[in-house]
Amino acid sequence: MTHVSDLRVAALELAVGGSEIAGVWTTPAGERHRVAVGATAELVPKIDALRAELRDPMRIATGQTPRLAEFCAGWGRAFLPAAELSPGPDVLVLVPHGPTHDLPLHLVEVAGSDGEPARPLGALAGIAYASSRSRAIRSVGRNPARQRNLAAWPCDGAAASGASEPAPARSVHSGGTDVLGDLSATFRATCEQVASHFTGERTLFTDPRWPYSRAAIKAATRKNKPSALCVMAHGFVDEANHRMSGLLVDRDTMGISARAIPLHGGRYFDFRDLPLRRVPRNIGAGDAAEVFAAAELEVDATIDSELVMLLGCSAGWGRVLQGDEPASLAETWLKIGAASVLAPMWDAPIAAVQQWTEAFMEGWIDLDLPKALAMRRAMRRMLEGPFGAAPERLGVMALRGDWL
Amino acid sequence: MSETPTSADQTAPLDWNRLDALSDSQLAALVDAAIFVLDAGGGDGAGAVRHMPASVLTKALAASFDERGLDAKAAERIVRQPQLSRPVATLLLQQLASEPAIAAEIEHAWRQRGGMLFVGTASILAAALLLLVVKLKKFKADRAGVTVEFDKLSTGALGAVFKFIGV
Repeated sequence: MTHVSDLRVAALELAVGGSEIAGVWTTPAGERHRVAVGATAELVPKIDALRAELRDPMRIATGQTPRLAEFCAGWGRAFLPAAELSPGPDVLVLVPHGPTHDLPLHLVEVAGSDGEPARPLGALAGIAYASSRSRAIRSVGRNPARQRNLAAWPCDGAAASGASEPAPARSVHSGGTDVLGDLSATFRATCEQVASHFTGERTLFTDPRWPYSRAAIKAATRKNKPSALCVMAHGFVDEANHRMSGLLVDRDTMGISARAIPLHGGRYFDFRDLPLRRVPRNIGAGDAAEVFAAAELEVDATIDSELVMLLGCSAGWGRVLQGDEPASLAETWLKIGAASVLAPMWDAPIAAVQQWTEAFMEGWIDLDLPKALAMRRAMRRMLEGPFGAAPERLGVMALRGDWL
Repeated sequence: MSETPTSADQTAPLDWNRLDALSDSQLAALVDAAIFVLDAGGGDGAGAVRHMPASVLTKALAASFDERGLDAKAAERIVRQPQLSRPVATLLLQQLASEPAIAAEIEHAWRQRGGMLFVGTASILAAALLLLVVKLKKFKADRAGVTVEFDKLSTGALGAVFKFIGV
């Protein structure tokens, strides 16, 4: 029986210099090797072109992604040291840098040993992305799952079979809304499906009579913080000011609530809890929508959940800000305390996200696998399914933060 | 798992004669899909027309009108007057839909886009679509396996648009 403490965990930290992209590979034994990737001037235009393709919803929707195919089977392989992947680690933590932040390295096809066909990296090892080494360390440090006895935590599904101590009952806070169209029922069904796996307290915001509002999401960051938060809503990226990017949620029909700000002497001042920005006019949302901005998350919420699942558009990408800080809604949830975030890397077909999420939940909750191994299992399941030959669907979801 | 969106509006067959029943965002998505399909099947596939600044688009349209002996000043109106976007787009789409192979390609792409977790803008890129319609010579419809000559279609579309704007 394999336990979590037996897992072979490696890391690859990338660094983009003026002339060269290189990396440092940390082996499961702790040895560090330098990895030469390639010339910056040659790779950055390819990365930019790939990024443009992945930002094009029509290309993703129709599956016309030739640059992604080239990356997976061709130049993307330069980022991974082949010698270290045979045999590969069980878990690989990827720490990108600069323009490599959005690269779906988990989709790079790695040649199998003994003549086996090449498979995506994410099917060989559990992949977790961390935007920096310090972010990885912070995510690890705050993960409640780290308080479990890792030497007694089986990670081959034995926990589910009753061969060891049962997995802890995890709670969930799950809700969704489509303020732009009529996919709310689909969103709600997905959120209910996610919640159905949890054995602890389940708080659902899927009743269409009640708005899924900013207050509903922030409730998860107040008392009775859940083990996992699942949010399914449209997001948008403000290219000019990342912190004004956000999720589109329902306007609260209960009126404007108050937000108590502590003053000195144990006194509080009640502010009206208004959204920090209006819905951008070009999005065309009606009056019933509000923006839950990244800035509001940063100033008004903390969370200590094991996982935040952001099943929305534009959730996992954004500009890279000064200081090599990738600006995405997913990253914001990591900043305010989530140990890990599961979010799409690009705008994705709902069917692919649903299938991914279900396969992941079976691994993480039903089989009590570490999140990265649940990701690997989900990737393998996806490879066997209808999206197996469609990398833009197969690789849409990414785990950020702690892998456990 | 089907990728067809569950939206009630998008599960029914698209009625090309009732495009006015679509919301702005739905029509904008349909125009986006049409641009993508035409660009992929007959253009360079780079999608540049979708991101063309208004001034560049105006010049390109004006040059195309001029080549055909039409009033080049109409380009400015079509690009700059947002109230023309919806009716011009509707006219163009209906002209395109007169060719079943093109209609099928556009509707397929539109439905796939409808199944995306994606926030589009409500901007209807009618002028960009018009430029593509005017520029294209041939369109290869992969799904139907046919090639459509665009000359007649372009002339018909331009005629309908110019008649509408009263030039």
